[in-house]
Amino acid sequence: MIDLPCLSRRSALRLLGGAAGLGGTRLARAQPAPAIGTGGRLTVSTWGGITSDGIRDHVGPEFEKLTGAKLAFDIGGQGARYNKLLAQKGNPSADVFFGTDESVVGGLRAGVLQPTDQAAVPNFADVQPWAVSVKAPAAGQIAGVPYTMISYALAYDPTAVKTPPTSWGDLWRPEFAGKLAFAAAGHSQMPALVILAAELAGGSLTNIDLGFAKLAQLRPNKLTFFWTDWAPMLKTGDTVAATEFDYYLEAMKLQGYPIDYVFPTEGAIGSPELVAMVAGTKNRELAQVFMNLMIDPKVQEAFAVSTFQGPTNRKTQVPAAVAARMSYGDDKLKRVRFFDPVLCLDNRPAWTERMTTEVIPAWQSR
Amino acid sequence: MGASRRPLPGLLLLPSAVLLLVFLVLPLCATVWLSLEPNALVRFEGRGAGNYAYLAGRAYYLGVVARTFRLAAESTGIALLLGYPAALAMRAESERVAGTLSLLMTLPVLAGPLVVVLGWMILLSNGGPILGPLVRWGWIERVRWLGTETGILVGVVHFVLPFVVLSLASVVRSLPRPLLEAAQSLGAGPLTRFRLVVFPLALPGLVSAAVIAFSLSMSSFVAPHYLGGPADLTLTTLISQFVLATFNGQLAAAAATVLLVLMTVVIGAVTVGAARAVRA
Repeated sequence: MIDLPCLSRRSALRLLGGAAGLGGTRLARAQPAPAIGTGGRLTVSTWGGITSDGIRDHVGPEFEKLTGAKLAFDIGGQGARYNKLLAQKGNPSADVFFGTDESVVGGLRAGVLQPTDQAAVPNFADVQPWAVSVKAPAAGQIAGVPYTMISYALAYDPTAVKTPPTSWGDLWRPEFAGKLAFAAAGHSQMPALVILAAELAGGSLTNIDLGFAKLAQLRPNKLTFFWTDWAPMLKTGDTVAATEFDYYLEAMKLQGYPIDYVFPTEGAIGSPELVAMVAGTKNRELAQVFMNLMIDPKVQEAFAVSTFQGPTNRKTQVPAAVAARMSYGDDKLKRVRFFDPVLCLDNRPAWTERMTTEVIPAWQSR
Repeated sequence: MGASRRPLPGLLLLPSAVLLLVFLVLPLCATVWLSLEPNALVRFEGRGAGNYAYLAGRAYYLGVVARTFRLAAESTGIALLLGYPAALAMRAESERVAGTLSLLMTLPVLAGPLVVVLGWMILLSNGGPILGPLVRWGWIERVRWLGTETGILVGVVHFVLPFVVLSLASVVRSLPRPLLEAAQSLGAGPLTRFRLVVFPLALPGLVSAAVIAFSLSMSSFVAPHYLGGPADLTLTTLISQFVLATFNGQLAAAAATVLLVLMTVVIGAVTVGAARAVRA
């Protein structure tokens, strides 16, 4: 019912010779052609702060030049935005969705995201193979565009911690007990942390119980989704160690927080971040232009320099001083471990349940 | 004449009735309907009460329900204990002072729970302005308020207190002064006047204040989310976790229905009980 006005507007435009079907070919030639029948606006569902600012500054102007359309933002945590996709299935308010590789696998499976023709995203040919962690459903298609590579790392306050941590096992150090900010049960990286904990305890994916038992011995005093959840506690000294994404930690450094971090010996948790097309979008061509821009070498360079998010296009040139501060380059990537997003997605419901009902109550009772 | 007037009030009720139906009853029905569906965690055929059985069959979730209930009861009790004297004190003040006090009291409500709770997050942290110096000077042991039920209680009480004071104050102020003067002239001291005159007459106000405080506490989300610990989940934060962490709308809907039913039962019982007490 809600679709009707849009359909009638589209058919009206077609009658007027507006040719909604022509948009794709025109835009692929990168001509400054206003999007027809869309109001000339692409709605980007993404994280607030660093990411949305980066898109607005480094993608927005070029996107506008290429398409004549403007960017609009739907900002929020990944979970909240993903729920919106589920709720608005069939008539989405967003056109492209930013999320972890696992969320894109889930979104494709749930039918709220859709694959894209690779031919419409020419820059995809230059994307590093390791960044393509989500398999496309069919040949000639891509699941989404892995526009950056970030890593979940181990952070600490160098003014309070004498011996810097080196291993994920250091999370269990007595000095961090009650002073640790740790990923919440619903955090995107939680399944990887469960696997790492199981391995530290001598278990594995096939003996995951050991991981939960090991995690139950942690003593976090704050469970976090976003760096701002625990940053104030770092300032007051209530938290001296944390698990967090490297680019947020770099942003914290710039803001003068007493923070440093390591990629642990077992490997920081590599997380390719994707932008994917929302199923049912009425702005398919604009979305493809946008996705192509997100992996354009120039855009990636600007994005990397201002946000410390590692580029994924192998043609991207990053100044050495910046490169050292992000998940970038062979040396750094050797210290990063990738976890299968399908595996994480499949295990998430049961593992979140175990974290909530077994592990977290143990944290509180000790 | 009376009969000819009757349709008008009925018609006047119609818009709000439609509004209630569309914005309250229909979403609630949708929630209950969704709660009967299977999901990634609880698998069963067709529609059924599987999600409720799942929640009821786990000590952890029963604990969440108990905690929600306990916190709501505690915050209601504390808010009434703090709010009643405040309402009585406001009665003694002039119109202007009472008006100013009411305005000041509504400030936290106007600012919204988030602002209030963020303030408490700063105040309650160990390194914060209250506990920080005391711990540093060695006056007290390291205690933890933030991330505990105590933290939640502080935030919820602060938020519901103005509602309690204001709803009590309006009732207490409207008590007929001659009655109290008569009691006084008959030799009743302040306590006796309160016990025999003020309290019984203001009982409906107390009940409505308690109902407001209880329902606000039970459905509060911001305070438990920001001031509570990860193991101090209440029904609201549990619902949000089901929705945001595992996209399990079905279990979230079941938990929401449990919350709603519990609230309705308690509020219904209190209202009926109070009505009987007033009649007696």
